[in-house]
Amino acid sequence: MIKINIILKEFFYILTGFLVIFSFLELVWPGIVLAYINLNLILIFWLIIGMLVLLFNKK
Amino acid sequence: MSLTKLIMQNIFIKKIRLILWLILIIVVGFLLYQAIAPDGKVKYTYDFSKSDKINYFINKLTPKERIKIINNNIQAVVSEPVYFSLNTLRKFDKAKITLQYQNPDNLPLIEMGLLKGKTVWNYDLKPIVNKTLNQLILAWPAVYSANGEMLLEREKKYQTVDDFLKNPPPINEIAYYNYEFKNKFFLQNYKPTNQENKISQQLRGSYQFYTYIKNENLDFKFAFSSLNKNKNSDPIELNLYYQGKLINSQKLDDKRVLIDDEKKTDNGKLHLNIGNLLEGVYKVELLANDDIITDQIIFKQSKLSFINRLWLAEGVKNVELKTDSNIVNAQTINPASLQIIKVGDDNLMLNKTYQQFNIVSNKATSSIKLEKGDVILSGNGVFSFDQNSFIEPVARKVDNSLDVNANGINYVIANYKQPKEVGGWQVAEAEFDLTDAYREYFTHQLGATNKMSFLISAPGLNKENSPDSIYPPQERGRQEGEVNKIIIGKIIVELSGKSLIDKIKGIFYDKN
Repeated sequence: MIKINIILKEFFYILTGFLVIFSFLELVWPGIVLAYINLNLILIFWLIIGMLVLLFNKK
Repeated sequence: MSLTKLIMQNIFIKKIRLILWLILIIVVGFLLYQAIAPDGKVKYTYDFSKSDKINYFINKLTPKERIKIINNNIQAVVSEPVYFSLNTLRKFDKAKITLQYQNPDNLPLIEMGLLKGKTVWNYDLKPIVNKTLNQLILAWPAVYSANGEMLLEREKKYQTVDDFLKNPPPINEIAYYNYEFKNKFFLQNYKPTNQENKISQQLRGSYQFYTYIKNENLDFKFAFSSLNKNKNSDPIELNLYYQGKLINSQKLDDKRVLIDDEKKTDNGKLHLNIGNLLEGVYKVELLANDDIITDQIIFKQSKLSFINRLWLAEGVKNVELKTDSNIVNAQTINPASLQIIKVGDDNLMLNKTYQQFNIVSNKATSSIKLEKGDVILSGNGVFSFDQNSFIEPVARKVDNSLDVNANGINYVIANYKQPKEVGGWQVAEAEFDLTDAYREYFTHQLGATNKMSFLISAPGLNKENSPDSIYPPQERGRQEGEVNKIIIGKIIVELSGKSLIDKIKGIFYDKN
């Protein structure tokens, strides 16, 4: 249980990193990310994992 | 929790963190690599059978009204032209575009073009298929140059393309295709008159014309006005070319303050007066949007022929022109301009707005009589208001309306490769120089993301299939309501440009 929580937290951090870096890259160089990666999907994963982290913390 | 367990957990966290951040670095590295394309080469493919797949680089064919989805998501072009745009993350210099297509209706001419400028929407057209040339290749002997240029001769006379270029036959025996044929055209017995001539018929938008100079000044006075139908500014550019090279350019900025009431306003005058010019043919090009009316042209030359297209403005009445065009196209956007146009002895019915009607003539020259203006006339030859000022100094283009026998063509010079057949598809390649392509950029970007526009054209392909169309629907194997089409399979774009090393070298060595 603790391990899952740790992994989820790490995923949450890395997805935050992905979102911040990708958004910055997309701002300064339009298309560089969107040409290959759908940022909406990353945002959805990030939200789901964020909710799971909160759920596991509560337990 | 014991100390050992805590240490183990910390190691575990660090391992996971390391792996995940490594993944982030690799992904960012991959994206930067793709965007920079360090070797200066990149390849994008759009498979049209997977129409639901989003492709960032090659966009869908538009407008969708000209596209018909048939079995298995296959996209068929039913009216021309259709457009697609190409997004690139950096600048490239050259594009090789491979088009995989099917031409079930055997359309005689298909071309692909790159948008070079938005003022007059000029496209650099390259061949996909030219049926006339395909037939000539089978029938006439051919010689090829080292650069891939092809010379077709009705009867074998020249051994090499260079021989032909050094000692060309009369211009009226030559046709060209996708080749810049620079001939020195001289009029025997031409004498400058120095008499003032005038074209009072108002012309709308852009046009080009040829004139001839011999021991005289090139002297043209243009008077312009603006219809103010659109709110954009209406700049005018006047360019003079000799043997394909720009030798003089003048610009007239839009003087008006923003006017909303669509009143016609004076837009100024331009005077092109140049002396000490070599004898020969000169091309004058006027670049302006459709708001601009040329009210009159006063000139001292005795030869003047408009090239390929001219738009007679509203208000022009009972005008007669002379043309050597094999095909005369007419179009209007004004319901009051619908009429019957006399082309030689034939009638060209202009009975619908926003639709192009055409008539094919195999006569050397024909007269065109119009009762009303606001009509766009176009064709593959020249148009002149006066029989005496008619001049056709260039070779004919091998297009869908050229009849080599009727026009007495004995030589064809072209840059053309026949499409190959691969697995039931025709595969053709077109190469474009992107250095002067029209590009749209994002604002406030550090990268060089840009968008270019291409078209696919097949003259005469129109789902309306009007009775005047030069390609009536074939009866054999046709279901009712079925229209001519081109089926597009794949578009493959191979881009090449400066490599990263070249760019770095350029920063240090090119700045003198």
